[in-house]
Amino acid sequence: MTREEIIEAVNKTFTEILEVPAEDLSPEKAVFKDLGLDSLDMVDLMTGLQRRFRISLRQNEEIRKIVTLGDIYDFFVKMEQEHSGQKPPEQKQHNT
Amino acid sequence: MVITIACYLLMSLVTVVYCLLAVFPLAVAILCCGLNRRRIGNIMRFFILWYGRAIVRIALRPFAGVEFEDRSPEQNSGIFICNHRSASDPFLVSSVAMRRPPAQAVNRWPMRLPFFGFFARLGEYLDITSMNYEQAKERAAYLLGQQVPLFVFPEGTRSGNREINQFHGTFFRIAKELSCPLIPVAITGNERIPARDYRITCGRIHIRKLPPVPMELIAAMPPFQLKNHVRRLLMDETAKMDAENNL
Repeated sequence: MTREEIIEAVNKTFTEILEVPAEDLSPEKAVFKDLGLDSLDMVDLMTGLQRRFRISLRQNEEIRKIVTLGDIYDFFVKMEQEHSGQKPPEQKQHNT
Repeated sequence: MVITIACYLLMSLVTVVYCLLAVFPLAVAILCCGLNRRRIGNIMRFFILWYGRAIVRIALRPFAGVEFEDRSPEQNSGIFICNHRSASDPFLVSSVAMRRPPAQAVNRWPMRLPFFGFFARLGEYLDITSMNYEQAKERAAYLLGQQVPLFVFPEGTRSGNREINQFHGTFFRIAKELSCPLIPVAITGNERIPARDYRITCGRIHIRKLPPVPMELIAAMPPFQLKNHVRRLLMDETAKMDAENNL
């Protein structure tokens, strides 16, 4: 998947599971402070994202470092690249 | 600054006098209940409720009047969702008319206060930051099963202004799982009573208990939407109240 496809898939999951309007989703938005997701909402979201991306996130410590929506994008870009055997980029990109 | 000092002095005086008056009846009541945990909890919540009323009606009165409006007088049990502007909110809970003394869900730090924490623990207040979700649900079920009203401030911390911060969703999930009423309670006028720097400004506080969220909505809405729905209800109501009271 390309980065744009991953971003679209993450946003779609947000909209389907949490009914957050698409126009509210931008990479700089903080997951709790701006979008209102607490730790339990993150579990629901991650469960949906696991299903969508067909990966297991169990005991993945990187999830704890997520602060913004952009961090979620970067996380799944990294997961996708690891899955497909590519080297993940060193710098974060926050494209939509 | 004079008002602040005077108010805190009066609160300290009321606290000392209340403790002196209450210590004997409290001790007798606890001994008479056979040291039963449930009965001790009920007794402590009764004394905590009247302490809160003493603070609001005596200590705070020269500086801030409190008006309570009940828009759901028949609703006396369930989870009461309050906005949280100021440190006075836990005391103002005592102004909400209830058939039974309530418990509150609090952060860790009130539980660690040398004096208040001890009684909050005996009153079976929920130290929400020290529990996981299942423990919180179990404790809530235990209290709600006794028809003890449970007051919750889902912002988790004072906003210090008229904004309502994002809500933590724990008690909305608990309400869904326990099929328990959710009753919004709007509190306005106290964002500087005291302010975040603990200074006190004179004013008028308004508390409005709203109709409960329909049970069909609690059952139908996912937890994230449910908490945002109640947050919006409180945002609308507090804005209306601020406008009504020209604040």
